[in-house]
Amino acid sequence: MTLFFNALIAGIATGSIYSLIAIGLVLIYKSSRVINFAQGSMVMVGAFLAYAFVVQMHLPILLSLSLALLVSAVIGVLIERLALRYLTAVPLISILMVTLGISIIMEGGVLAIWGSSNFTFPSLFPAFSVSVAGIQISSAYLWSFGLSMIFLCLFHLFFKHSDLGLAMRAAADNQKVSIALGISPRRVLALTWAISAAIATVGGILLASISSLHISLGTIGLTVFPVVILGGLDSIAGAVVGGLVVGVIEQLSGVYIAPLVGGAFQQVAAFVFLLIVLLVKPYGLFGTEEIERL
Amino acid sequence: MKKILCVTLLCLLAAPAVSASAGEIPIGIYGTLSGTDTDVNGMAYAPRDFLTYVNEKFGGVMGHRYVPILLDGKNQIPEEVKIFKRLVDIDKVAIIIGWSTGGTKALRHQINTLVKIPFIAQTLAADVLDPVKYPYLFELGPTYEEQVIISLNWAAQKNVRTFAFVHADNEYGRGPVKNAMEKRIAERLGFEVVGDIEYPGAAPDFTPQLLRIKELNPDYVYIQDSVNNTIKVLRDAAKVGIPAGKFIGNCYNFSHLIPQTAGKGAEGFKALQINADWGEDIPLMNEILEFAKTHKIAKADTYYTKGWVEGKIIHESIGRVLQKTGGKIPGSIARFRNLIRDELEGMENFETGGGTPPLTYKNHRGHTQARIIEVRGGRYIPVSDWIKTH
Amino acid sequence: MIPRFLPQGQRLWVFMGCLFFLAFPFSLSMYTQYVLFLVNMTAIGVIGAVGLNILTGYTGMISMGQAAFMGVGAYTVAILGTQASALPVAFNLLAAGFISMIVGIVAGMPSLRLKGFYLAMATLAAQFLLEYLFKNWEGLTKGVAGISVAPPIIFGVHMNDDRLFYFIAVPLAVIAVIATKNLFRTNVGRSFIAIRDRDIAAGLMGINVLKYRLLSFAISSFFAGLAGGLWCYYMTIINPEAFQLATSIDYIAMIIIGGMGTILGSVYGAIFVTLLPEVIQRTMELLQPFLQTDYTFAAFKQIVFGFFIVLFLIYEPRGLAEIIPRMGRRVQLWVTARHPK
Repeated sequence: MTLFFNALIAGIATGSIYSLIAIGLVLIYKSSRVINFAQGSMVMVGAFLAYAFVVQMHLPILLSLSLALLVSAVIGVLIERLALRYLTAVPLISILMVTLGISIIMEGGVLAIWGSSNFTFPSLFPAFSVSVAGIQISSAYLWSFGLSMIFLCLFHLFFKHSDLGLAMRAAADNQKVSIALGISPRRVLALTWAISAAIATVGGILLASISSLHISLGTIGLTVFPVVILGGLDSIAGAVVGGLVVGVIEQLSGVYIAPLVGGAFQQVAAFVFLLIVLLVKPYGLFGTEEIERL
Repeated sequence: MKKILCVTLLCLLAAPAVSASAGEIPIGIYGTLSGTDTDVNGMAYAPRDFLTYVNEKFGGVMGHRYVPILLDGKNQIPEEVKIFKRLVDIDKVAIIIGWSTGGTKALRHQINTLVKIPFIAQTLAADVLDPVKYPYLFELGPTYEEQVIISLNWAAQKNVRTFAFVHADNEYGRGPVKNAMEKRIAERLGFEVVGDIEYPGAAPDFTPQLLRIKELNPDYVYIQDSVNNTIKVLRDAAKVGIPAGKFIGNCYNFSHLIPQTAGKGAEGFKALQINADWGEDIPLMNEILEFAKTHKIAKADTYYTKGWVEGKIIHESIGRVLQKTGGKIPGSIARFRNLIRDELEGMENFETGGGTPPLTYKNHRGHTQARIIEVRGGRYIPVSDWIKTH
Repeated sequence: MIPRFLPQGQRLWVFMGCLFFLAFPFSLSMYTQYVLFLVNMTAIGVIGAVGLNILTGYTGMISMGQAAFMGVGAYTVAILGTQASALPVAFNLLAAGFISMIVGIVAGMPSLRLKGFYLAMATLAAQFLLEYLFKNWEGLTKGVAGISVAPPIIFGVHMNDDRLFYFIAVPLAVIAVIATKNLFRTNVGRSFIAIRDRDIAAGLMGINVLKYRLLSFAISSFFAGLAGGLWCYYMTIINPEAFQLATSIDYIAMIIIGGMGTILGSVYGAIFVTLLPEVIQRTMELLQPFLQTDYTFAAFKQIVFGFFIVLFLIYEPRGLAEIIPRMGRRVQLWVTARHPK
């Protein structure tokens, strides 16, 4: 039973980071119907930026974290401005491939600058360990879960109460009406990409500081797809729930199913689950069903 | 149209290729310059550096200059196969230094029967090491299976009863562990193997696998993987609460990156050392330092030393061939390759300047000794004498 | 020798093409093996890319599993090829196509309910699942160690001899291209295009959308399986690493760069994507003395590859299939302008 609870806790902790990263994907999809395959690379690039500021340039931690967020937000805006703005009313595959291409470029850039070695990310959060009912919980899990939840709440408040957040929601809901209300869709779109890239950076910093920094951090971008499909591509609440579910599924299948079927089943588990969700409920738990008319 | 395009492109491709002219000996080297295994790639850079060093200091070998060609195999089998083909056909190299377990296994027929080219692999897999079956394949150091034996023998003195293996889902991870399990190495030494657990090598998270290990609670865990994944294993072990002292890694875990990255989570971690470390007081190190005065050294670690020794082996065997032919490179490349192979195999008690014990290449791997090292205070300290398997 | 049904003007071109095809492998003065190796790899790429173009370019369904379908074909050939009773090569290759076709139909089942991004995700899941099976179904695939196939001997040489293989792979690629070209003169092909342009409208016109979607998956994965089977015979060893997601993405890049929904596009794309890394590698090696680095080669290759994908999508969404004829016309204009008749 200890094993089960340990796996559950680990799953919730990693899942909360999935949720955070998935939100970036959902935001972009909601506002522009773009599915961003570069989200994983933005996570990685963000973490490397933070590393560069903290370790390589010896800047104070708070300053470098804000710089990393700022630079990645600029990268996000640039991606929108330089590539995706030119792709309106194009087939879906063009959007997928353009973001995939951007992701390939970003990975190449990181490879050229930092190489594919391991880097020691400064541990930003003090380590401690908590014992609940005989189950030891590592501080890494508590930090990642706690911080992800804080950020999720911040986003919730932002979209519920701030003018900017409300404008973004309005633009996503109905572009024509929002233009009539004086909201500039271009600025909203730029802002969406900036926020989404910044979220990815937060996720990257969290991941890198509780584990280590390596170019393979970007693979998380693929794991996020089962998350958003389960939750529904356009639902922020769905992304949160989906993230936690997929995190737990990965851990539990790694512990219980992998010994039976052999090999490293945990990575496939999320995608098997994705297939089942697609066949049973294609638009996810909270997604809006697309209705097509001729 | 297609053909015309094809031809122009191919002509473009073919033009800049370097062909072996008289007085030049091309040597092919490929390693992981980018990819999952870069932390140990000092051994790909070092042979090139050594051959450059020989060129600059002695003007090559008996008047012939080496042309080392260093390429990036990315630790991917298809890429390595492609590079092999190119080195053999375009660059017409005399000898190749290869890399991965999977790639070497994939190429073993080409190396030994189709092309017949001497090939020194960085992998230490026993599956491709057979002087009769694979006469052209060489390695440097005890095989992975022998390393398991060495670790187990050492652990036997420590009142240890149970063992588990962890490895990635690639050939480098699976092959040697499977061999060790099938030969019942652990059982014969009186251990019980409680688990053979595989993690997805490319995944960022190994927690489920380590939770399983925690549940099995073995006395020691043997990691059959390289630096990058070992860091992940140690990091996640710390998260689920397994002390690093329970883990033993193979020879590709002797890297300062492990204590540096895993920090306190690496204290007590053990690994194997199969050749001299960087910075030891040996003649070989003096050569490296002399070279370092005028050149940049890519990686200052034990793997660089290993690669330097490999460069020395190549230089020595080619030197012996040329001595017998009176300083002339044989006209036929096939004959040259065969002669190099013969000299390599015939090498006896060759002094490597302290990099390794004297090498006798009749067994195709030079030597079979290793010692256990442990991370203490962020540094590797030897905790055993040199142990030989044979 | 030359088929009579060809129009007069084309006969000469076809004759020249055949002549060139026959003479090419014997005309190279150096690096014969390596050049032929690249040509052969391109031919295999063409077959795979034509297959993907049928599915994605013509029927409008995105597949991220092309590499895995190729893998199915390669494993079929490897398993049949290592049997004691040697089966003929042609049989094995056809079997590779058909087994891959069956797997493709199964993997395409979600297309009965899904389309667009959701279908792409289903094929991505198929890619990962098949990769997992290649790695872990030890009894059948020998796991990560892979299977090595002794190349069968044809005309006294091993089949993976570069020159012999050239005479097998290139004609097969040409046949694949001609077959696909003819496919789009039939009902089936036109139904594919109708489904791509507007599936609901196609349904209203009486096209059985679901049937044709599965059919498109079947044909596409047949080509993929054939390409995979050839790859297996050529490499003589296969392992799961050769059929990963990155390869699938390469194939999508081929049809994007070449031109989606055009046959010649698949050919141009396959040539481009196969040769691009080689060209960059060569150029970087020439520049090596100035760059002083080794590991950035791979990074540079990635960056250039990514930029090509992005730039083509933004500036030339119709790909090389559009650019090359345009350039041809420009050259013609330029020539006629300078030498008026």
